[in-house]
Amino acid sequence: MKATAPALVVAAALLSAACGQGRAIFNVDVLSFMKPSGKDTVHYNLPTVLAFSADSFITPQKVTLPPGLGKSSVDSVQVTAAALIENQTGTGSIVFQVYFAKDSAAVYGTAAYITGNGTISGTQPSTVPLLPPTSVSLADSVFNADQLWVGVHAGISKNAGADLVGRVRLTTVTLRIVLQDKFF
Amino acid sequence: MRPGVVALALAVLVAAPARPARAQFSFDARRIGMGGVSLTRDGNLRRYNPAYRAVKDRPGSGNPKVTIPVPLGLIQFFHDHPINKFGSDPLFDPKSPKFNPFETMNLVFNLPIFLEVRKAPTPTNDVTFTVGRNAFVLDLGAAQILVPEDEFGLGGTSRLLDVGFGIKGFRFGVQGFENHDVGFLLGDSLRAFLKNADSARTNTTYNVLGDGIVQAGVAPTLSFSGRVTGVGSDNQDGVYLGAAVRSYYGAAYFRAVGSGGFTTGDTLFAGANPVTPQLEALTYRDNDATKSFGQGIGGDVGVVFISGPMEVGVGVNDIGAELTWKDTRVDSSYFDTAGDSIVTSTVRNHVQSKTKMPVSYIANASIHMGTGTTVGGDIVNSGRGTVIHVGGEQRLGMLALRGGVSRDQRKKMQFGFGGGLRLGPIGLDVGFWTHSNSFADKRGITMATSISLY
Repeated sequence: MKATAPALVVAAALLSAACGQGRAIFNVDVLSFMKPSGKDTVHYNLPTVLAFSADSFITPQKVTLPPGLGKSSVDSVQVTAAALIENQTGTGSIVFQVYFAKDSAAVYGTAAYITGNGTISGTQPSTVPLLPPTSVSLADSVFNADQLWVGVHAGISKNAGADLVGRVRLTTVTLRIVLQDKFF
Repeated sequence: MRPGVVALALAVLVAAPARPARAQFSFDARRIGMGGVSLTRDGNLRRYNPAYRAVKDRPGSGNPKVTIPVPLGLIQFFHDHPINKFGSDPLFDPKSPKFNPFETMNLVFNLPIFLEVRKAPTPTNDVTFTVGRNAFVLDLGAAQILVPEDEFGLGGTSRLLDVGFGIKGFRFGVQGFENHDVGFLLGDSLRAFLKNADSARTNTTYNVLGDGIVQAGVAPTLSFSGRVTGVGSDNQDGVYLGAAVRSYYGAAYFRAVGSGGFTTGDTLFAGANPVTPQLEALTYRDNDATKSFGQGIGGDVGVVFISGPMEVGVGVNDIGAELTWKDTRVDSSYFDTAGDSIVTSTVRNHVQSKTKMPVSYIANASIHMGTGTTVGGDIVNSGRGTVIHVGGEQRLGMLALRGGVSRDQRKKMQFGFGGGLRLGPIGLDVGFWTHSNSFADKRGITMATSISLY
């Protein structure tokens, strides 16, 4: 008898169905699903004096969405993300990307929804904000599901010199999913 | 689980605003055209005011022998929803992607007897959900106004039959009675979640409190109605009194008091984080109607004052009607999380319990002017909420023009207008009536048509 679906969502969606043909808008705080497991942070440590590149990925994190989404078609999705590079030593550049997929195995096999670039230079330590533009996709079937997997990739390029050590910490990852049709 | 949640939501949004301004409260197009008021001494007046039994129909008042509704709405409905396609009709098929439970429930509450010339528009506005691992906010926007803050529900009392005989103002008869009342109240957490866009919380119960009763039986009744002033005069002027003493014999009753909903877990959104159904209820029922009745004494009183064209009356029913059920069983039901099932056990048996019949009343006034104009109004409370009707009729030979307003149980004004044509013993009437569906403030218009035989 226990329910695996958030019943409040079901009840709330039913209530919202009384509101005629208005849109249902879901603002999803993806970051809140990532923080408890520490997946909001990607650490890097490139201990070499040579110029070097490396990639770091988080293990895909599941995001539980309202169950009605699985039966609805998505009108539009906006993905907004922001991060901070908290660098300790060394200089270089960092690309961070946010991925979404319907299953965990496919997360890093698709194109990134968000890509942000940052350059680390000058005296260290330093903090570099990464503020990529919001991405908008229409009729995206990835979000037509009641669960979602999110992944974060940090591509790190180190300049010659001191070890490049620090972390990329996500500060915002939000989805705005707009449904135009009936939720049920 | 989902059916339970669906039921909870439906209870909120259907029963809740369902003190609805019904699309039709009468099958008589004349009454509909006058905002629900009846200007003749029939229907509600004799039902609620025993004094009216002593008052004859006003000469030339136009009381028909029978009124037959013309159900144009059913023609429209079955055209839109062919019977042979009910199985696949989204209106009745919950599996259809176009199925909307609110439209279906609205159909139940507003049977399409009469023609809907303008549908009550459903409000449209965006609804925003904010979802986080441990946050869930629902902003219904303007629709928040539909979420009830106070108790809501359905209720009423009916006289299912009334047979008897009378002599010289006294009458002895047996009436069948039925009373039902179902009330709901949103729990504090659920109300804040829906009404104030408060975030859902972990380990919190969201529920609806309920209290419902159904009771029915028969009531031998001794009544008197008579004229106390103006006796012997050739007009109807005077004061009329009526009273009835009734011995209630309840044959069956069932009452349930409790709450139902669910309790959130440690996390709102994180995979298989369950909510736990929550149910606690006490039910009361009589053990065996063949062995004992629920007994009580109650009565009705009424008075009518008539002076020329003016008429005023007040009637009150079921005064002091408290039924004692000597053999009652009390059961307790709750949701057992360990057993994942609803557990019911008898907590007391063969005990006495009491129920009350709600007091209902009517107050009415009308004036019949010599110019063919009749205006009147009434205030009716049939046990749950007061309804006010005010309306009038202007006769112009064979023609009649009618209009009226009403304040429904939601305290919302509704408007009626219409007309009629009388050709000897047959009258053709049409009435238009505004109404709001269960979920909107905007009005639709229903056209009622009926044939009266005089």
